[in-house]
Amino acid sequence: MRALAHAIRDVFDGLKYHRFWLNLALLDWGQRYHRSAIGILWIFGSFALFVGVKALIFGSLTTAPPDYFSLYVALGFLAWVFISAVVNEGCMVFVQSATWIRGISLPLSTYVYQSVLRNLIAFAVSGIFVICALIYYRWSIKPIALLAIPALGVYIINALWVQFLFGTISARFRDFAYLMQTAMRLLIFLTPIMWIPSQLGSIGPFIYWNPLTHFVEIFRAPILDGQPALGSWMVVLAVTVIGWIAAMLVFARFRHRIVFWL
Amino acid sequence: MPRIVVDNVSISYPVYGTGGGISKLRSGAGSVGSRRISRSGFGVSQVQALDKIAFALEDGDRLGLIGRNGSGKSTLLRVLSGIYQPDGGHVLISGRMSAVLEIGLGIRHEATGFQNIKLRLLATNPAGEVTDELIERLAAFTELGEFLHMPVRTYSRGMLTRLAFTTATAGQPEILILDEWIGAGDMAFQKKAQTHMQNFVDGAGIVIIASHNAALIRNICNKAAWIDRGSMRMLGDVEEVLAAYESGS
Repeated sequence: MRALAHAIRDVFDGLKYHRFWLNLALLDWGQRYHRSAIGILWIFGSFALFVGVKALIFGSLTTAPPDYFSLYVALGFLAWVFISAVVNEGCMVFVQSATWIRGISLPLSTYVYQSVLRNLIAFAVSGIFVICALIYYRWSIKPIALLAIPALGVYIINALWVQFLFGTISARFRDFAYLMQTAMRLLIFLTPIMWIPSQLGSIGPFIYWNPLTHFVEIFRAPILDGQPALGSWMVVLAVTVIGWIAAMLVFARFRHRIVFWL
Repeated sequence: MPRIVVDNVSISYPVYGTGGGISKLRSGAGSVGSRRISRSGFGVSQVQALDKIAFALEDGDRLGLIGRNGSGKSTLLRVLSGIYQPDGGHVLISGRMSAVLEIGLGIRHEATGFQNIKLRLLATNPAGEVTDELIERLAAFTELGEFLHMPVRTYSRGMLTRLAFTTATAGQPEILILDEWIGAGDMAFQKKAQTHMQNFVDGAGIVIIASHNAALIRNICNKAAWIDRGSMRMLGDVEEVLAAYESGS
């Protein structure tokens, strides 16, 4: 019980270091694109190209109108890139900060915030492209589209527990990171991003067993379909609560061992 | 008033991926691998790094830690600085503490000198204490001039040490934990660094330094502790402990 209280305190203490992790996250991007002429704009460029090619290829296989399908892919892929980056980088969150963790006593949540913020920056840059696409197609947006904002908030809240849990597990068992990498590579096909479930025939309904379907849905449906996707919200909120409980139990139990696993 | 109480602190930690190598190493080179190592299967070995360490320090105390390589000095410093959590016993620390265990901690080679100074300061002072004036002052201390706007990867070794030294010794802690004395740079900077380091150490209420340099310990410390195979072999007056260590090891 005390360990749990300390783990929760770690989560809050990390917030005090916001200037530190903000600088780290920005430097991460600077480092990733160092000496490149357009730097972070590569995120924008590669996202735009991916969406363009996907909309072109898969658009020819669907009966949906081209403008609807292009935006469907753009919004879904925007959500997907964030989710998969959070999972994959979450597995390495403590491993990659090994020198800091071994060298100075800071709340471990500091490195989680750094990692989630880094992914949020990429989300924002790619998001500009999606906004441009919405304007280009003159897509009519209903007020309900504002629900995408709390959806993004829920993404962030889930990103945190995912990183605490997966970061702790993969620090001890490095294979877990590779397992998740493989899982995410498969899940992109099992999540409705490049195809529409209703056009999938008899296997369509099974797609809703995949929780990531619901995560994508709560962000995409309000903007694209003008639907609140309430059923999906229920699933997502349940995952959020269960995920946080599991993450905090594991983090509380093994928090002090992480430094020895690095 | 700064105070440290270390009460029966023990710690053991796992080492992974050791396979069958450790047992051979242990029988072959027993004098260096002086800590107790037990294998618990699956390539995991358990190292008993510290065993019931106890001492207390008051304001004005300067403790020198001596002992052979691998005796547990650095592990003890990591426990004191909160990086390792002991398995048994307690550590009580009151006072603002700064631990300089690795002077080049977290240096980013793609970032500029300025950015690195800022980053290191933000890691140690989370609140709004990191002002532009402070960064400017430290930047001036390094005497790196224009190079502060260049990525650190372009720095020479000496320039890098100047930067690391300056950031590591910024601020004035009440409790200072040092893994060896730190000095830096070319002749001119060395002198300046020496003076700065002396002030840094003198300004702290309590100092704990691990060192292999007996003269340094004599010079700075009023107490010494001899750590041997993870246990406290002797604690007391500097001369007595050093004499015992030099004749006994």
